[in-house]
Amino acid sequence: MMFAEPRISPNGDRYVLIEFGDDSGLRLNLRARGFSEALDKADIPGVLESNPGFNSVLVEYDSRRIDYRDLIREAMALAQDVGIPTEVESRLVHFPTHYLDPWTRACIDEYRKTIKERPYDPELIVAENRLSGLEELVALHSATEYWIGIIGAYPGLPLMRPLDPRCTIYAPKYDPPRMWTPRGAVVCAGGATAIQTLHSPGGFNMIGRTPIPLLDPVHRNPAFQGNIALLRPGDRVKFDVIDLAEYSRIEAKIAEGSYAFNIIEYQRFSLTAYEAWVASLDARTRY
Amino acid sequence: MAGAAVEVVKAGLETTIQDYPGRIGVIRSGYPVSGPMDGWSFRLANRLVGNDPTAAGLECQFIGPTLLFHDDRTVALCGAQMRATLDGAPMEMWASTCVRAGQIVALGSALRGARSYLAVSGGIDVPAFLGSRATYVLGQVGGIEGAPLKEGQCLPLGRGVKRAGQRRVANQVRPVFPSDRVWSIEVVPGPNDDWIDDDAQARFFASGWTVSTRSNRVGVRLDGPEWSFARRAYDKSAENGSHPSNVIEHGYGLGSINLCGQTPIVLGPDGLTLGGFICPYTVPTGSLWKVGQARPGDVFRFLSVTVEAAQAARDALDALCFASDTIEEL
Repeated sequence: MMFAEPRISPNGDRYVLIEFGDDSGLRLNLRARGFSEALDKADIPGVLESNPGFNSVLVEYDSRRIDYRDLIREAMALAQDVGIPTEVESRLVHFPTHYLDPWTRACIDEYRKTIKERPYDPELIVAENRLSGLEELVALHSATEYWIGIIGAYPGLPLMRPLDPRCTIYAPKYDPPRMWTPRGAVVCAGGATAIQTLHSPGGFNMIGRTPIPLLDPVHRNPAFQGNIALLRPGDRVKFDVIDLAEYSRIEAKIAEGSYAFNIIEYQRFSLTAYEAWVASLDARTRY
Repeated sequence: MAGAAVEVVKAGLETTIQDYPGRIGVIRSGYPVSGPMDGWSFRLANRLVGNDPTAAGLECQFIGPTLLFHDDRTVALCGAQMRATLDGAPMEMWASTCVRAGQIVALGSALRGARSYLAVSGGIDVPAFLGSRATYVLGQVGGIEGAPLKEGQCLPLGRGVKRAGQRRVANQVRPVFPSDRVWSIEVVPGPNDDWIDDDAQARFFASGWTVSTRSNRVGVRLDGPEWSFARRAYDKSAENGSHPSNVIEHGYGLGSINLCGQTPIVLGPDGLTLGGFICPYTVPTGSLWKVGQARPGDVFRFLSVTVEAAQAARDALDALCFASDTIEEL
């Protein structure tokens, strides 16, 4: 639900969190991102940068140049002026993915041995969502396109929601988080899916792994078009099921620089058409 | 002098090249700010050797490095007490020291505090990544190949600045590390203080929180009493995640106290830029140095301050770092 008025809370002495609503739907995501872009363009003295969430924007400011009250007043005025972009650029990027892979399984085993006992992540998700088994989890997770709402937590990491509500699955988060996660792990928590871009800590459940790199800090790979991160907010992701042999073939091609990234560039995304389609579905059915 | 370098004889526990304030303006690509955990000590060390405030220096964590200088430099060590020597003779902390070509500066273990900062005149001249030389180890960028120092490496140095006179940081403007290892740390309530209940808020301020051994530049984990939650943490859609500490992903400010289930983590300079856990409180900029100097087993006691008070404290600390009477010419 979108709030009637954005909610504002301080985050220490140099950030404020502006929340536009309490769900993670596309409308709120486009609202938050539209506001963040407008804030950049407005170039308000003392506003340093903004960091969008699914339905919020964290604004960093310099209180020596703009005080808290003035910042809030300027931000609220801008929030009133900025509309929701209803048609946006959106690329579709394919990620060959080996579900139920040996690397994330080994990582879960290590967590069990060194931190605490827990179920195998995909089995936990099957139970939580009353699925028939691991096969249904893989089928559901790979059936929909995912919307990248935000990039962050770690460099280039896409946080996504399934576009087809019939493919929604929920998962709890690790407590405590893992000290490491394999790079390329496909992970789920809450209603979100993400891909780990680095060998890094993590709190999401692991269900598979993709060999496709998402970061290129030294600009070696033309598929990144000069960017460090492969993906950007508003792109869509599709996971294509592959087996271990195919994973190894793709990994070898990436290493020798001959892998062709599957990125589809000609499409635009219409929020109104999407919302009309979702309204026509029976969300209780599974795909 | 071009090509000048300092050679790493021993690397120390995890010594990294950092600069202040770090990597700014790139939060949306998911890169954290990095930079020194104790910006106060770091900035004073740079001033002692006559460097520009943005010059890169070394953050030495718990066990410091041993360094062989290839040319004459002025160095200064500020922050955690690490028995430092120059060719075996004691080297004064919080003061500038002239080092001649061929001499060795050796740092020991941190006796009080966790991180010591070594500035070298001219600064450490590695290529910048996204505008900063700060090392971000998880992301493998900044510093030298994004990694802590390694034995045998040569760190390139910038052009040596004109030799400064002997300098010292005035006693009253040095950070004080508590001898009983109990830190009093300011927090600003929010952004998610309304997700925890009144009891949890009272417990937060009444309890001592012990720094966990599983702490680093990404985050400082704290052990303490259980958290209990307000209605808002339960009355929410499934997409938030099932635990009361789970929320739809939002941006995290540096210093946020991020509640992961029952584990509070103070987000450090290499911390996550956003995530799906609530942040009931935030350690403001002017108090972050304390988090950077805390050792496992140290205890945090929190006190609540307003946004305006936290801003005034940050301004006062910045003013102190730049004030002329902070540095005494000897």
